[in-house]
Amino acid sequence: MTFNPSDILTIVPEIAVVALAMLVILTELLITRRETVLQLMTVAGLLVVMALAVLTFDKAGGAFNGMTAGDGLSTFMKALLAGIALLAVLMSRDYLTPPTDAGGEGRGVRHGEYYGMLLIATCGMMILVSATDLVTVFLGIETTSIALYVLAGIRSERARSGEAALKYFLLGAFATGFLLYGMALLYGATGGKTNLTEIGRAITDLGPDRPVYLYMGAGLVMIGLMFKVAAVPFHFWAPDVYQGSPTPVTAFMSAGPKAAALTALIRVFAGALPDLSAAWGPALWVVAALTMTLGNIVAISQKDIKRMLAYSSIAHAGYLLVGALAAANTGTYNSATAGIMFYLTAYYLMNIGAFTIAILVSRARENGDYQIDDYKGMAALHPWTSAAMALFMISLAGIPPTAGFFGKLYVFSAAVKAGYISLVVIAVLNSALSVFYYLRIVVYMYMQPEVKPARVRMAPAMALVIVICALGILKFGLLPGDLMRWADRSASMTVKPSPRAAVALNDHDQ
Amino acid sequence: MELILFIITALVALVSAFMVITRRTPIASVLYLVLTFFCLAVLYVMLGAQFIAAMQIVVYAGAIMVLFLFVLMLLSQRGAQTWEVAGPMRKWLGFAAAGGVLLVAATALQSVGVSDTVLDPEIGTVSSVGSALFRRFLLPFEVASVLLLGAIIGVVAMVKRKPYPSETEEGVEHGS
Amino acid sequence: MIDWVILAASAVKMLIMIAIVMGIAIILTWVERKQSAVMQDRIGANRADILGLRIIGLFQPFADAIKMITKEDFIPPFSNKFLHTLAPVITFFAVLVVFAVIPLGPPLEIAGRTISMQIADINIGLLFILAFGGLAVYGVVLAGWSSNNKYTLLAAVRGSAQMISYEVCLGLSLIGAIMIYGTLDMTDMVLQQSGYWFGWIPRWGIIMQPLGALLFLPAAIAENKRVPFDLPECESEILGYHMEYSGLRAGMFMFAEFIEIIFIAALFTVIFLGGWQIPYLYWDGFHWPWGGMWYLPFWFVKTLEFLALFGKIAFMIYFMILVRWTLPRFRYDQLMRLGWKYLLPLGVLNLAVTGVVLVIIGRI
Repeated sequence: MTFNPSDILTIVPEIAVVALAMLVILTELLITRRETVLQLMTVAGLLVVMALAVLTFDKAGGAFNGMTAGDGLSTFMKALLAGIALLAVLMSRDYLTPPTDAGGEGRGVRHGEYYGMLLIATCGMMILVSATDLVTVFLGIETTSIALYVLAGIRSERARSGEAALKYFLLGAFATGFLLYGMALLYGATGGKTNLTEIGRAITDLGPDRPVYLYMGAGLVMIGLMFKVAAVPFHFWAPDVYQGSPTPVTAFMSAGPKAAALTALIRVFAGALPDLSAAWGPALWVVAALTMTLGNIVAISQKDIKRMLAYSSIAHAGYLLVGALAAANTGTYNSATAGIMFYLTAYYLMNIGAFTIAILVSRARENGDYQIDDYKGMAALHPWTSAAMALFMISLAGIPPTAGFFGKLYVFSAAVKAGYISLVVIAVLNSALSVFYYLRIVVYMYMQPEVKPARVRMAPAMALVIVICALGILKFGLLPGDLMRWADRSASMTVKPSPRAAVALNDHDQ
Repeated sequence: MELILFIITALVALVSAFMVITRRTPIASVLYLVLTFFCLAVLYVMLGAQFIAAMQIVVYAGAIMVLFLFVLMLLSQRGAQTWEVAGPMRKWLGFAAAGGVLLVAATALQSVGVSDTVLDPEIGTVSSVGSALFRRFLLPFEVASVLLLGAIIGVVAMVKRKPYPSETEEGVEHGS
Repeated sequence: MIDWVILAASAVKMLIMIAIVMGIAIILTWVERKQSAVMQDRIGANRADILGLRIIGLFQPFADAIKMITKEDFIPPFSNKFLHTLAPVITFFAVLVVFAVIPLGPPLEIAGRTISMQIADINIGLLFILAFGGLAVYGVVLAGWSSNNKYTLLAAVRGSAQMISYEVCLGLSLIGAIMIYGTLDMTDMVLQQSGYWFGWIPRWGIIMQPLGALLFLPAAIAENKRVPFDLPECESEILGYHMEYSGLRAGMFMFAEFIEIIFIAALFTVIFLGGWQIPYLYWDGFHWPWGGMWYLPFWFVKTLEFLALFGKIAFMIYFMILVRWTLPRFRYDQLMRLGWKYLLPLGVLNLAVTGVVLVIIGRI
């Protein structure tokens, strides 16, 4: 119950991120040539944070009286989150300061505050991925959400941005309400426990005679987390918010919070509530199936690339939920969690890459639109950019030899091992469906005559982002071994569900 | 004596909570909500949670509700405007939501039943709350500060209009 | 039953407290007028007399009271009558109820029982004060809003913004002292201020927390809406939130202000001026730091302590009246800048320094 100074080691990345956020905001006040300096500072800081996250790898287990864990899962995720923030920052500067003569958005935002909010959101997600207590889960979610509400609406002079922020805020507040109410019920049902491991133990001790409101609590917590993952039927906010938010924020939002909330989902449901899996397992099954199906079907009819990517991100949440379901099973916990880590890394690279090119194309249009038609015939003018976009699309569709393929492979094979065969069949059918709309962009770029040529002006930072993403996708697609080994090692050093869960979970595939 | 006090406080809390949702003028709703918070504070004192009771008044009645009033007054000078009357659909949705919450709470309470466990009388004092906050919940306490910092910066970032003096050219509405 | 004894004692204490507070407040109205006259080279109120007896105008408060009570109590049409009536009551209640935790003197031992000189001896004394003190803002807001007048509404908005802003500074300025005393109980706070540094510097709050005391005063005066922070009221020009009040209700607002002066003085005395403590005075008399003693009987020591408390309170009251008639009013932006850009950061600094020092000397 007392404070142990060495516990600080486990939250070094968080501390560094917050310190960086404050430093950036204060620096903005003091210097004149702000944009470049602030961006370089943030990028350098995030590199340090990433290094710190990797260095604190496998240093400690639980810390701060079981509030947080410095286990493999959290350190991997922290490094990943720092990477997501890093690329988001890299692509932000040129978005925020568009060329004066071209259309584009982002004018009128203070860079320091913007980076600061981005970093605070990152800190919230880092807390969330390492949370092993309901209190820290909640605080992590809230810190992330509040920063994201602001980021979504940071271009307050633009109606879409304001709408996105308001929608996100109102629905997010509801989701928080559900989450808190559920946590309160769990707290009551387990006799005043907030620690996830203790909750698991208390539920086991309850035996078969469990109060109804324990299930209600679990259900409400699930709804709250589903909202953050943007799973069907709690996805309504996602397309509008993704479309209205500034595009780098959308890219950040589609990768970061999803990874963090998914990790929390695994920790809460596989870590604390394995005994109730007979109840939430089928529910999660249905949600996963609905999420990927609806995401893919609706994505086909989208005309706006941001909306298309929004629905695609919903679909990917569905695939990831298949992995989360498998992770709740003791036997496949390691491989499923490692698969999710790999998938998230791949998804983040290809998604941010796609969004970066979307910004570039939109900047070339004087009205700053994000129409998919704008990509027609782009390959003739910009062969390299088009090639990169094609790569991202192929990877999003999950076609080898890209990282996206291996992500799906690892997640689905873990799910098959866990016994969710029919769900995996649905997922594979969905992947096939998704090929249609991803490859449509490739077809537009290479096989359609150009209607209105989009003269893309490449900025160095943007080019860097695209190169990093493309190289990453190719590297993890051709030689996935390193990343997979690291993910495997991380997953094996995580608080696992108790063996009892295996019995409860055994084969209730529908 | 305590039972009488409890019944009175609980009744006032319930009635004023009901008034919150039935009043037509927003300001009246806010004032009834303040009254509800007061009654809650009294109930906290009766449970021995003095610190929580004080916080209930300092934070909710003293700060948050004042801001509510403040905003309402800024929005409407006359303050005579009323809530938009909800259509039947929304009313039923509201009833359904409230019923759902009530159902969950009732189920929870019913399975708990009446307990005669005597709580530690020291549980609600400042020192026990303080040592819980700074020992067991040290990390959440610190994280909360990050949360609040983010909220403060965020509000300033969203509300403040003109960025740098040199770049005051208004962003033209594009593409929407 | 023991309950009844305590209840009776509380009732007596309440009556005494209300009598004392009201009494001082009544006299204060006269003191304020006289002091302003002195500072403006006038004679001041001296006409009220009973049977030709004037005694430098001391009857003026009674004349004022009679005038106020007999004036027409006008409620403006189209106003919210209930809230219009409620607002002064809230203001009055908020400033009176906080006296419940102010100790009127050292705990007395009578018949083997320690009787605390507080009405309510609760362990969250200071929090209680902050909680109920914060409610005074409702009086301002409701008075301004319910009067159905643009100017009162504006004044109420001004006033509530000011009070909320300075409430933060007020709380922050006290936290340093709380950290040193390690208690929120007002009697304990006074007891914590006994003892000496180097054997002769009394360990009063103002010596241990000079910055805290310095921040407390402006914040408290701003909470009380007195010059130089009287923007919500502005008796003279820009119209205040209680413009539409007359008669006894207006008097309640005015009276609440005087009571709050007493309250601030009492709070300052208890937290920063060592309460009833007199340097070098122990239970059996003075123990001088240069050696030697001056024996005094026990009852005399206790009386001295009561007198010391009231003397300090009187001094602080007088100080605040001096401030009121010396300084000009702040402009609104200056007020906000002072609160948020100077007092608040200084308060945080005070907190940080106090914490560091406490860690260094090993108290935490």
